[in-house]
Parts: sequence; structure tokens; C-alpha cells
Amino acid sequence: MIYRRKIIAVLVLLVTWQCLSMWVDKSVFLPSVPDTLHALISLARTKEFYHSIAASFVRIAAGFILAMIAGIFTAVLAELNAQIGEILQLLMQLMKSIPVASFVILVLLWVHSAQLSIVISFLMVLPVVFTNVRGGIRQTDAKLLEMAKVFQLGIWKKIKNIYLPAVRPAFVTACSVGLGFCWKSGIAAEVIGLPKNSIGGELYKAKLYLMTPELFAWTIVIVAISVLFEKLVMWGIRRMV
Amino acid sequence: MPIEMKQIKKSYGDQKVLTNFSIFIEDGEKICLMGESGIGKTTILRILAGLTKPDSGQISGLQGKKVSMVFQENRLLGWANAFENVALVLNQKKFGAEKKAGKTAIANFLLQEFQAVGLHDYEEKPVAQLSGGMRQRVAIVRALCAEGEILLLDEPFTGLDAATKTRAAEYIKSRAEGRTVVMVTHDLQEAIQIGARVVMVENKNSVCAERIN
Repeated sequence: MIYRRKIIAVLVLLVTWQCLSMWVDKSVFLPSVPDTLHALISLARTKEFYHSIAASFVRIAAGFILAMIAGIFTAVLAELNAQIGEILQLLMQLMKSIPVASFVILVLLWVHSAQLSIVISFLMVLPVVFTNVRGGIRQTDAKLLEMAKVFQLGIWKKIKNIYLPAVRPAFVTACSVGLGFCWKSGIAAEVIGLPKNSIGGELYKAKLYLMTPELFAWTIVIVAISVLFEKLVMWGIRRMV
Repeated sequence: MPIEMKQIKKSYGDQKVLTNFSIFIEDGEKICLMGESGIGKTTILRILAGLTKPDSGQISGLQGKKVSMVFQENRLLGWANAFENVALVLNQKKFGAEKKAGKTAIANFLLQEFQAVGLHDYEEKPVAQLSGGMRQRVAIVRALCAEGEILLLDEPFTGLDAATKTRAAEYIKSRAEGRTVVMVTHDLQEAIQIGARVVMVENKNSVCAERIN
């Protein structure tokens, strides 16, 4: 039943898109569904297509993983020391408020364009993980911590049995939100930084030469990879924690 | 070494809870703190457990001693089953260094303990799915299986019917042999069931510790 509804939803959107493109009647403004599919198939027949996907995927995934590790580490640090916590909180607040474009331009001065999307997806995901994990730690049941103190439970037992179950829901939310952020910001960074073999670079080329069907085809690829990556990561995280 | 609390004072903000509390507990003695609600019985247990610091006064005889406790609310891990909740506080080295054999020994030991309080067949269920009385019994088993030389029981029979209460009291009595027990209750019968000396905690400013029986 759910699948039927989903299929109907996709079909409705495709039909709407096709109707709109027929009404506009100019592929350069809004390509038709067959034009986009044709462009996608043509792209998929080239080696560059897979190189670009692989390179962008590795860079953005690296940024995401680094942000996860750093987010957990900084959240724990913030809870261990109130002063450090205050500094980190302010820093994360700043990072959340700064627009991606400002970050991209600034970071381009510091790193090579090939590393830009790693840094940008890292910077976008880090505050999300930090805020959620810190919130999870703060919501740890104080009564259970007292129980652990009375029974003199070791630090690992406390982490495994009290902190992790408390942080788990917040961590899963952070991952879900962060995954969306890292793809959007990572690709945006590539469009500005134009590293070799990148989805962002291909998007820019498609825009530059007014190859709108290719632009749409790459957008479909980004959405598909982003969804697949999110499903894969969330599956792994649910199994792990 | 006996436990001695001398002229303990404790306030929470403006609210004075203990103003001059003293008590002497012999090693291995079982005592039962009784008195009206809000008089500070739980605070006394919390001080003994090291969870609350008194504002002033002296305490001796606690150094180096392990404490285990049944809290007023059971304080179990809701996601874990009864077995895991108790295994968490066990000294697993006692059950053998070899991992597999150790696990079997723990399982057999805990099965007996759960049977003793009428909880067999429930040890694998998440505690969140157990009734209040069952959870309370898991908390009792956890406290008694931990290696505490001092056992603190804060209204341990809450939510238990008469028959289960008797069974749980028998269990506590048998497993607490040789340990110092301090229990808080409102029911004299419960004190008699575990064979404790009853101490009335009187007015907030009183020096208490009067033997009733």
C-alpha cells in the first residue's frame, strides 16, 4: 500500500514535469522527461561520469565521517569542561549562522579546490552533530548516573549502558539531518571550487553551456546518491548503536 | 568497623531536613529507619551512599566499604532485561576468567536468584515490559547480588503484594547475612520480617536512634 502510494506520487510529479516542459516548450529552460533521461543515459556511457561520482562521493563522505568523529569528541569535551563548552557552543553557533557561500570563498583561500568539499561538508555537519550529541548527553538520566555511582560501575559500563542509550536518538537525528546537509553543501562547494572530476564541476559545465537536460540529469544523480548514502549510513548506524 | 553518623546537618535551600542527626550502626547490624514523611530518612540513606554531602557533622566507618542500594524508584535500565540489569553490577571475575564458562555460571546463578523472588520466566523480558512489582523485585535482586558490604534499602517493598513482600523479605534476610543493612520503611511489619532494629527518626531537630524492639 505504501509502495503504491509512493509510485503514484512519483508518477504524478513526472507527469506534472512533462506537462510543464511541453507548455514551456523550450528544452533550455525546462527539459522534458525523455530529454533528461536521454542525457542521463548518454552521461552514464562515459568514464568521466563514474569518476566524477566516485570522487565527489569520497570527498563528501570523508567530510561527513570527520564531522561525526569531531562532533562527538567536541560534545563530550563540552560536557566535561563548562568553560570549553561555552567556547565550543559559541563557535558552533557562529558556524551555523555563516552562509555556505561565505565559508566556501573563505576556505578556498586556505585549501586546494580538491579538498574544498571535504572541508565544507565537515563544517556544515559538525555543528549539527555537536548540538545533538551534547543535547543527548545532557538528557542522560541523572538517577541512573546515581545508580552507577552507588554500584561503582566503570566508565565503559556507564558509557555503554547509560550514556549511549541516552545519546542514541539524538545521534541518529544528527546523522539524518547531517547527511542532507553534507550533500547539499558539498556539491555547492564543488560548483564554486570546480575541482577536477566532480559532480559540482559537471553541474557548472552543464550550466555554462546551457545543457539543461544534463543539468537535470546530474541533479537526479545527486538526489539518488544522497538518498542511497543516507539509507546506507542510517542502516549502519541503527545496527551499530 | 561500625558506622557512626554524628550531628549531621543537611538543608535543601531553606528547607532544613536534618538538623542534628546521630546514629551508631554495628558492623553487620540490620536497622530500620522509620518516621513521618519528609523527615529525612532518604537523605540519611543518600548520605550513607555518598550521593549527598551533609552540610556538617561527622561520619565514620564508611571508608573502603562497598555500598549497594534499592532506590525508592527502581532505577533500572529500561531497555535492558532483568538479567542484564543484574549482571551489570556483578563482579564477573568471581564467576571465572573464561568468558563462555563465566557467562554460563552467571546465567545459572541469576536464574536461582530470580527464582528466589518469584521472577523466573521473566528474566529475559525488557524491564520496561514488567509490572511495577516485578521491577521492584529486579531492583532488590540487583542490590543483593552486588558486592556491597553495606546494603541500603529505601522502601524496598513498594508495589509488592503481601505474599510477594514476604518472599522478598525472606530473600533479603537470607542474602544480607553478615552485611550491614539500613532500610527505610513506614511499615513496622517489614522491619520485623527482615529482623531489623527499629530506629525512629523523630522531629527534624532531634537526636534520634531509639531502639524500639
